[in-house]
Amino acid sequence: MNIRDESGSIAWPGQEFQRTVASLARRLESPVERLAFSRRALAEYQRTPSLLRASPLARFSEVVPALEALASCRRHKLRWNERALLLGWRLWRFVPAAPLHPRRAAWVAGALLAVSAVALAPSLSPPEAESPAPAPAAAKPARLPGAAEFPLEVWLVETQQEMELYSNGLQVSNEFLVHGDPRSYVVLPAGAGSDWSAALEKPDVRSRPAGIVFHTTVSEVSPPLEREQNQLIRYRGRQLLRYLAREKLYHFVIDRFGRVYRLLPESEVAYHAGFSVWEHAGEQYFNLNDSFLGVAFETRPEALDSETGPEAAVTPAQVAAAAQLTRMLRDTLSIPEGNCVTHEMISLNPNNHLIGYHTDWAGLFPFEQIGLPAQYETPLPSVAHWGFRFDDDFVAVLGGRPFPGMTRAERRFREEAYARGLDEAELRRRRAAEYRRITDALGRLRRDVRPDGARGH
Amino acid sequence: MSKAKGLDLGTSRIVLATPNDDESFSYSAQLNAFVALPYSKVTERALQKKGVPHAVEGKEIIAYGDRAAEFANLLQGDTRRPMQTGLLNPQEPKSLEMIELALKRMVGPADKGDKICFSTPAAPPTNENDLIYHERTVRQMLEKLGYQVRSLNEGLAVVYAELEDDNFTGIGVSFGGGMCNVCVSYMGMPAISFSTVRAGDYIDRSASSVSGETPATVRLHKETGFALNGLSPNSVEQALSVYYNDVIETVVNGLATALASRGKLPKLERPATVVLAGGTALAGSFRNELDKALRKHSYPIDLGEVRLASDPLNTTAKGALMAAMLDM
Repeated sequence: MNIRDESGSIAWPGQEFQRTVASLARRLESPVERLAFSRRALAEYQRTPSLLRASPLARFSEVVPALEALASCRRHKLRWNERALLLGWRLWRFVPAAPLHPRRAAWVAGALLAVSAVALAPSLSPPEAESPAPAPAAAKPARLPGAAEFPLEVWLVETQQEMELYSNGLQVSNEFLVHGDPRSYVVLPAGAGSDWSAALEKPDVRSRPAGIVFHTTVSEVSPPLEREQNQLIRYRGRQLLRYLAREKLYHFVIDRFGRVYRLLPESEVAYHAGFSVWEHAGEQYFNLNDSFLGVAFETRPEALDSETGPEAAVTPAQVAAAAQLTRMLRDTLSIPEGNCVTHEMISLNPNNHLIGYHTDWAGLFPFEQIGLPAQYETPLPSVAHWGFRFDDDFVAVLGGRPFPGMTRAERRFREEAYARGLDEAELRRRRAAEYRRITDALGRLRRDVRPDGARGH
Repeated sequence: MSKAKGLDLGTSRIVLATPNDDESFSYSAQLNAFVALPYSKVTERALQKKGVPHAVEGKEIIAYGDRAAEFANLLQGDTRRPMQTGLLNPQEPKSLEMIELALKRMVGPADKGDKICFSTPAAPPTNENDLIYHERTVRQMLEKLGYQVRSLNEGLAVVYAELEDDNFTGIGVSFGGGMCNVCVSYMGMPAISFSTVRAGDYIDRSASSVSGETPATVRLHKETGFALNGLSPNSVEQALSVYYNDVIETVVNGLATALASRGKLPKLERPATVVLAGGTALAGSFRNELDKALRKHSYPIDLGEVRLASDPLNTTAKGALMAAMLDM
């Protein structure tokens, strides 16, 4: 075999550079532009002095070549701070070639110092601060050491009045706790096209929560977080919690100050997920109210905007509390990380066979900060197996681009159609019919267990 | 305004990709094969009537493209191939003539400034000079048509076409008729590439040899819902299974060797996606078998999802078109 090492003496950049380039690439519309940009960025990186790569200003060598490449994309304009960084970069490169005139050297050094100071300001981490998509590296403006990576087992330390304290610092208030129906659900094997009769004849019925669905309240009742609104913030915050508890909509709500409220016990059902499907580790769950816990972040309606990113949607206090709560739930209920998902990843409409009936979190959930893997990369089972599609409206909510799990799932479905020698439309028709049969059968099973029937949200 | 075209010059098929106004791509494909028929006015008229591309050469009529196989079957013969194992076929005296004819017909003459990128295999296992000859000859043919020409490794073309979400970092594998081409790409730059000559034609030839069926019959089995499902009582399907697995094993071993032999590899931000393209990858369960085979080895980089390209027969042409558009 004739293996060709194509790279020659190329210097491979680190993962941070890859994240930076991937993040900046999202600003470009066409795949060809992105390809050109990636290649240019790598070429620019090669021109970086190796001394700089090893210096305390190494971050320069990861950001600025990418910006240099972006600047050469015809249809893209850099922001002012990015232009400032580039100026510093170009001056840096000018230094070795400049005659050693003391006044000029001093001027260059001064300019470099100034630009470096600007460049190293946290507000100017260009690729990460403004990424519209929830790539793991893009969404980490507020890294919270320890919250997601608490090394010890999490247990309940004490209960005082209505407050629970856990060993990882989590405090949960039971002030608004109500009771609902006990949890009971059927697990089916993952995938589609199986012989379901055996699984339905001897159903695998469980009562322990299988996973967590993250939501946002998108509540107009929550006033803006402004000093003048203090009275309203206090009053309406409690109003909102009372309403959510009365309607049994979520198990937990995290308000904007990071306070965690339990509205329903984990062993009971909340009506948070509606029509939905998810699978992990060979197991599949339909209509996740019965099987998954619902955790909601208090947000205002305009909060989830793909332009502003997750940091505008929720507060750092909420993210920290969510990391603690997730860790507690995962530890105490043995919930696998693959079953921690967001509402828009699971929500669907069986009538028009489209996903994204509910759109929270609009692709912006900060999985990494919560201590979870990048779930937006996981192919959606609704699309990959059951042939659900997504429309332009949903993609627009996601900022104009489907997240990777959606496109991967679409490819999987096409791949299966190829492998089965079927037209995609035909496979989709078959899967839609199969989906109806399964959910009808599960509905009947559910009614046998609990006669009040399902509710959607 | 100048245009760009992408050309997948494969052993069994030639695919041309062109951009549409709405940023989508269109594809046209043609079998890369021909058949020589004895000249008669009746045959020539029949070919003309049916719109079959052909050329009269002395006492022969050369019919080429998709209908060539049909005529070959009619005459109980086999088609002739201008290319073999990914390169111009040195055994075929009409190789250059037929490729030039096919290119003229499919690609057509260029307008000023038009660019084209065509796919080439990685260096073949035996003689690297064959690749140089192939690449330069095809380049000259396209330049003669007036294009600004560049070539692109076939595996890298798969990466360009499919790994946008992974920032063009990952592994592209094209399972064609004559060759399997593999490229490990990092941000759109090839890090390692290699090819193996155990591909679709090898499966046909070998399965035909052990089952006693003609290559045409074997191909028919392959193309009508064959899936790699383990031991089969049908001798053709059993043979196909064995040789498909051999192709998979060869590629997987090649990848393991290539990655192990490479001293310094980039640290990837996430596990590398492996994308499969080409007609040979369309067999049922091919992806699953390859996935299983890949997981048996350990590599210096983490492997992620193994998936089939969204449009496996047009992937290489799409990647070539993207490369042609890079400088526009």
